[in-house]
Formats: sequence, structure tokens, C-alpha cells
Amino acid sequence: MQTETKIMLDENDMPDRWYNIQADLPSPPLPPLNPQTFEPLKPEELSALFPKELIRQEMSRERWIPIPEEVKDIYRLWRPSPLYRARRLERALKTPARIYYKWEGVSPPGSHKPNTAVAQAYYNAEEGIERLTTETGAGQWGSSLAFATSFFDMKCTVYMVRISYEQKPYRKVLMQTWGAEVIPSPSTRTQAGKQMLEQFPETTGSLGMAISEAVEDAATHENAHYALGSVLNHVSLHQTIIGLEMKKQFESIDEYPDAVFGCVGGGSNFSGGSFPFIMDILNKKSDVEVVACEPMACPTLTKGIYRYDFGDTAGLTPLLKMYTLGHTFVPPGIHAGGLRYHGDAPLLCQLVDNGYVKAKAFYQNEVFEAAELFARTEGFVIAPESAHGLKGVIDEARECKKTGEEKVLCFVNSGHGHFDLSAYDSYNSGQLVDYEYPSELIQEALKNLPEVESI
Amino acid sequence: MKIGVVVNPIAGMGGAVGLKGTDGVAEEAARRGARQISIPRAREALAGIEKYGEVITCSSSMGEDCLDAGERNFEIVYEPADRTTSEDTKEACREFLRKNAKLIIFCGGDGTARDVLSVVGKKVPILGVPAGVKMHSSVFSISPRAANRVILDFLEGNASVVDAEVMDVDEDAFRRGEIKIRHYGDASIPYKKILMQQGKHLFYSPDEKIYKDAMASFLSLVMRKGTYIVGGGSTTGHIVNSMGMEKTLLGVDIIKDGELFVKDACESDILESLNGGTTRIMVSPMGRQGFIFGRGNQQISSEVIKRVGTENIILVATPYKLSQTPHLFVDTGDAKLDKKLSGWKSVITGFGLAERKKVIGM
Repeated sequence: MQTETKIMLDENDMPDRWYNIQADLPSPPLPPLNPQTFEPLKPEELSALFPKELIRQEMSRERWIPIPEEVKDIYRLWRPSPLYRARRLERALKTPARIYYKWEGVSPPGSHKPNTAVAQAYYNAEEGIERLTTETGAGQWGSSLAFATSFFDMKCTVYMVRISYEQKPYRKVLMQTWGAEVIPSPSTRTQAGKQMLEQFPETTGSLGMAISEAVEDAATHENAHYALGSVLNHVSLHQTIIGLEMKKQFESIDEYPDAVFGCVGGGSNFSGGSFPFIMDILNKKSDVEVVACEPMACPTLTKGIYRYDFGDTAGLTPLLKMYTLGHTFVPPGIHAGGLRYHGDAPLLCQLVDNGYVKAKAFYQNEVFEAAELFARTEGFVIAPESAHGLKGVIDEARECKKTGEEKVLCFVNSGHGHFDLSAYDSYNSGQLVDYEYPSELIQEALKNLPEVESI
Repeated sequence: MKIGVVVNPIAGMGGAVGLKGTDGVAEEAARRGARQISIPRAREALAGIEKYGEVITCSSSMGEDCLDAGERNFEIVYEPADRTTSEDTKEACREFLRKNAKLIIFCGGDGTARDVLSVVGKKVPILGVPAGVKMHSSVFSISPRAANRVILDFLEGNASVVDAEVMDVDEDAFRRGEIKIRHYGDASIPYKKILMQQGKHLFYSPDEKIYKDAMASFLSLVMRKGTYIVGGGSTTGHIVNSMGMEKTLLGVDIIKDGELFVKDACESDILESLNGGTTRIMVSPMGRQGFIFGRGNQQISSEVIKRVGTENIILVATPYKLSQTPHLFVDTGDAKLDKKLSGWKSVITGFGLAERKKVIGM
């Protein structure tokens, strides 16, 4: 009988290639469209923003893509990350289910984000790019890119969603410590930012707005590129190291999950954790249940519409086929700031549409209740984003208690919550609001618009 | 222990017929077909109290009619003339004090509370059974049933006594569509958390306008089609005004396909408008008290709500107002309907934004 708490992999057993799910999809993914012509995007049209290798990866159908040695060398600072068996949580829930979590909070920035940040910084540096621009919501992606660029002598400009900039001043200090410049968004630095400030002077900002600013900055400056922390295929690709490690770790203890959970904002950590398992479904080797957990305040997969939409608020990015709440939707200022995104990764959306991935939405207070239980049983104070996946697992484990099923449940525990203590404080003092997305009324409002926008 | 009971028999009659108060206009209310509502409400609140003390009250509709006629476990200490006035309420209270009452229960609205306060002050605790059109004071329980629980707890020695504000609006200004709320003084009340209503609060926060604008631009799109019964208050007023119509600030208006259909509608106007097609009710909770039905919007009666359907209710409030309003309440006078309206409900707070809030029916 397996007794260990941490299931570890040796550094030498770290996967040396990423898994590209595009090779196994039943139908090819729908291409991104040029925002002006609405024609499928040509690779060269992305070259103002991304290096060639990342564009190649974005469109690649090869199943396996090798991880460069330089990237692996930095990964070794914290990878392979441990897979934990959450025995104390199981006991607290009195569940017959076995609960595992992949702990990505061990990276220096404290989340899964450096898995792609390091790779993106590397490919840009290889092409001679001197500065990367990006956006950040909760600050996890911004810190990760700041961390990653510091290894390659590159500059980094981070547009941070204003509400996070105010709620999480320490994230800003962390980014500055790794050498990045941090600007609250919307800002007066870009045309897009100025327009948004004129229109909504009191706005708390959103990821969509910050993306517009970072994209404009990169597109209008020489030797600067843009880096996106989620949504795009190459980002999900780099994150598959999470799921690939998990599979090896489960194999080493002779287990295989019945269900994989994770939180979804743009979808990268979830894709990274689940795609290697979905590969088994697509190859008819497994019927593992895959569950995407999102906030009720921004329920893209559960309430959104599957169609082409812009990735940002201003409509500068290519159009992506995805579940979307509309690119102009500004989600309420929930504390899981990293989940405040109107769309989701197109590859993940396609899998949801095809029925391979289920989606569930949770309220803020119940998510924090789960996070508190986790802190008091497993010890780790986790990020509010990650706690959405945890909440999904806890609900399922409680169901197992009723049915007596000894299911193997796991979730990607994507980061620690050390910079989210003010959120925990709000929860403890009963100040957290349970936001909702009134989808029916929104559909009606859209129907009653005098001219329905085609996009 | 002696318990004084006084009922304002005309309280609340103005509400369903669109009069926003009954002070000085009781005859007009009766002419418009208003029903007496305070007597059944008082009866519900007073059930079983004679087991705990000696009830002293007024004759006929000012008290006697609400008590158990069979048992006659009460003493009549004051007999009003045929047409009761606010002077009768005051005189009854004076008599209760003379007879050494230790608790005075009254049934009415803010006007009645003011009359009781003017005589009783903080000499003995008072408790309001809500039956008025306006109830901005904190001396009322949230429903007759809740009043019954507070009274019995108090008589068993299980409720504390706290100060509570007596407030009222200027009714002339109120009928003109202005809100002027005055604080008339503090009374002592028996207190049980949740069962007592908070004083109504007017919210002025710098964000209020931004959120009201956002809600207005969202809901004005929704409201371009269909029939909407829109309750009173500044939030709903802002939404309708932004559509280019002039909302009756404290009355109920009916909007049809984006046009003002009936202004300042009473219950019968509303019921008449419910012919075919989906109708929705849009209301905003009363600030801090949290009532969505049963206070202030009496024209939207239980009959109206049942015919419209509980699924067709849109609640709106600014985030700040909601943050200051711990729970939402309903007291439609129909226990079955209150139960249906209870539970987690969505409240629109911005452009395509909502919060869920617990609604409690008592």
C-alpha cells in the first residue's frame, strides 16, 4: 500500500518534451482570424509580436516538441514539482476518495506560470529581442515573466490590472525586484489605455484592457515583443510539463486518476495539467473525467457563447474561436484576479465543445471556504484561483462519501496564496461578495441592441 | 405584567391604491377601494400573548377586534370615537402608562410610531407590528410573525432592550416625489437580531452614480421589449429616467416596450395591465432594511407577484447599498409566496453584473 505524502520525480526523470494536443484532436482547430480582414491569420502576421519558434509552435501539429536544454536548466530550480496525496483533507472530508494535488507553488514566483515564461523568454532572447511586454491580473504571470527575463538579460514591461495593482502591492515589488517595470492599467502610456480611461475613468481595469496596452506597446516599439501568459496554444503546450510529470508520478505508485480538476482563467494551467490525460481519452486508453472550474463571476465556459471573439478589450488581437462572455465584458473585481478573463484557450474550448471537458462554476465564498479547509488540513495557503479546482475536488469527494466510491481525484494546485492574504482577510470578516453573471438578461440586452454586432 | 395594545385601523390602506401613506387621506383610500390590513396583521402578532400577561387595549378596531373574542382575556381601557385619529393613539398610550403597562405594542406605520413616541418616549419599551405604507423607523419587527416571536421572547425574559430610531418622511413632499426623512427621536424596543428591521437608509456614496449609470445602460437595453412593473426608489428611478421617461420616484410605473404605459399605478391598474405576454417586476430593496416586497411597494401586491411569476422579478441595487444591507426580506402577507420568494437571489449591480443575496421571508 502506498504510504508516502509526496510523490517525487528525480531531476533526470523530468520530461524532455512538451505534448502538443493539436496532433490528436478529432478535428483540426479553427484558425485565428486577422482582426481587420477576418481571414485566417498567416504566420508572418504574428511576427510583430512573437518570435518565429513560438509562432511555429502555435500552429504545429507535431505531437512532441523538445524542451531546449537552456529551458530545462532553469526548470531544474524547482522542477519536477511534487505530487501530494492529501490524506489529512481526505480524513477531514471522511471520504473514501483518494485526493492528489500537483503542487506548482514551489516555483520561485510561486505558481505554474514560469513553465511558459522561461520558454517564451528563451525563444525571444534567441531571436535577439531586448524587451518583453505583457499584462498581468493577479500578478502571477507578471512576476513569472519578470523572473524569466532576468535570466536572459532582457527588459520586461508589465501592465498590471489596476485593481490588482492596488490590492497586491507586494506582487509589484516582487516584479520590480526581478527588474521589471510595472504600470497600472489602464494607463496613459498607450492609446488604448487613454481611450479606456476617457470612457471609464473609474474602471478597476481588466485583463482584456491590459492585453490591449501590452500588445500596442510591443507592436509600436522596435525590438520589443509581447508575451501572453495564457490562452494561446504555445502557452498551453509549455504547461503540459505539469500533466506529463503527473502521469509519471501516478505511474510510479500504480495509480491513475478517475477525475482531473483545475481552475480556468485563460486555461493554461488547466490545459497543462489535463491535456496529457485527455491524450489518453482521445487514444481510447482512458475515460478519465476532466473538469474545468471557474468563478461564477466570470463563467466563460458555463455561460459563454462559443464563437470568434477578440482576445482583448480594444479589439487589437486576432480573433479566436472560443467560449466568450464578449471582449467588452469587464468582470467584477473578485479576488481570484487571474480568472477574470472573458475568453478561454481555444484548444480547451474546442474540447469543452466536443464534450471531452466538463465545466463547473463556483461562488467566491464557497471557494474560500474550501481554501480555508485546505490550509487547516494540508497546511498550504493556496491562491484563490487554485482553490476553484480544489472546490471541484472537495464537492466530488463529498459525493464519493455518499456513494462509497473510492475514486482517485486530483487537481492542479497552481500556486500559493501568500500575496492573497487581504482576500483571505475579506473572507474571514464576511466581506466577500458572491458575484454572478446574469446571462439571461445579458442575452436579452444583446438581442435588443439596435444593430447586433457580428463580432 | 401589563401589556398595552393599540392598532391604527387605517394604517397601510393607502399603499395598494397608490397613495404612499394614509395620514390624512384615509377617506380617499377607502374610496379607492383600499382594504383594512392592520387588523389581521395585529392578530397574527398578538397570538398567545395573554398567557404571559394582562393585555390592556382599546375598543373595536383599535385593539379589541384583534384579540381572541372567545376568551376575552383583556381589559378595554380606552374607547375612541367612531372615526379614529392620531389623537386616539396618543390618548390610548397615555392610558397604558397610567395603568403601568410594561410593554406597548402598536400596529401601524411610521406615523403611528411617531404618535406612540410622542407620548411614551423611552419610559417603557414599544414594539411596532408593521402595517403601514412607510416604515423607515427601526421600531418595527420585520413581519407580524417575527413580532410575535419578539414579544413572546421579551415576555419570557429572553430579549434585550435597545434604543431604536423613529423616523418618518414628510408626506406632502413624499407625494410630490421627494424624499425628506426626519429623525423624530429614539424609543426603547425589545430586540432580537434578524427579527427587527433596520432603519431605512438613504445612500450617498461617490460610486453610487457610476453604478446607477451602468445599471441603467444595461437594463434600458433589456427593457426595450416587454412589460415592466417598476417599483419606487432612486435606483429604479435612475434607470427609467435614463430611458427618457419621468419615473414617479416613490410610486410604481408600468413601462411597455420602452414607453411609459401607466404612471403612478395602483394595484388594480397593475392587475389590469397583466393581459398576455411576459411581464416583469423590477424593484430595488429599501436601503439597509432590505425589504423588496411588503414595505413601500404595496401596489405590487401578492396577487400581482403571483400572476407575474416569481421567476420574472428583477432586483437592482448598487454594490454599496447591498454591502450595507445584510439580508433582503419579503413580507407580502402571503406566507406561501414569501417562502417561494426566499433563498438566494440575483441582484443586478452594474452593466451585466450581479451579486447573489439571501432573501428571507418571515
